[in-house]
Amino acid sequence: MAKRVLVLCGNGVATSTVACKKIQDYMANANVRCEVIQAKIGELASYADKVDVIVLMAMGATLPDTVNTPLIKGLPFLTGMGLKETLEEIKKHLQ
Amino acid sequence: MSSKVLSADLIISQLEAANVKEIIESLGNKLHAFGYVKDSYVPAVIKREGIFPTGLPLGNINVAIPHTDVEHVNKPAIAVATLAHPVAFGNMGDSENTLKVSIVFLLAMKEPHAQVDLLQNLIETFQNPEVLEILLGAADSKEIERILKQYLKLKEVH
Repeated sequence: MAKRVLVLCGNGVATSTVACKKIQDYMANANVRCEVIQAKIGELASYADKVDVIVLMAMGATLPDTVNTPLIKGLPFLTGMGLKETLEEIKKHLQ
Repeated sequence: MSSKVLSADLIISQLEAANVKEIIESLGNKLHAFGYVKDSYVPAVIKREGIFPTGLPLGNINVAIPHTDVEHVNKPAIAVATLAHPVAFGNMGDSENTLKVSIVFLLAMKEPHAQVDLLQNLIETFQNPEVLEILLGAADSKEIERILKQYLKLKEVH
């Protein structure tokens, strides 16, 4: 089964949409099969256990202690700084 | 009523503003006046900006991209302000700190998946320090519109 990455946003779905597209394109190029899911912070509970890695676009958010899924900060998707490293880190969790 | 995603009507050059709220109100009222957003949009953006700030640390010239849920939007648009003086925004990457922002893109997105190329182009545009420099130096809203259209690869839609 393809692994799953959850992209979480806080302010609506603008920035996370861009991150989702970048992740999909990058993983397709790297031949990594994965499913990219987009959700709002408030919807986290329904997804947290079902994904292999979480990308957090709302950096100000704190997630409940019960979430043990690896968490990656999504800021590089917006600033471009460290983007390659961030994508590689996401990839590690999807292989 | 205008239906362009980006137009000089939605751009303020050298905005004099003391804080984040004033900036969101000035730009949001323009979006509202042209029918792009609902009454609930401006208060919703101000509230969200307080919880999840959108100031992006980019270098010498920082940018903020306030936005909120699609339910407050009628049709997509981007309102833009260059600021006469930098204003402190919460740092999206570090909620404990603020950063000085000089250019604000207030996003009103209705169907982000349909606009993903535009959003991607916008993000790539503000990752380019030279473009930010040019935008800050632009004389008026018409010039800002012209520069952004070039970089956002927007085609005129009437």
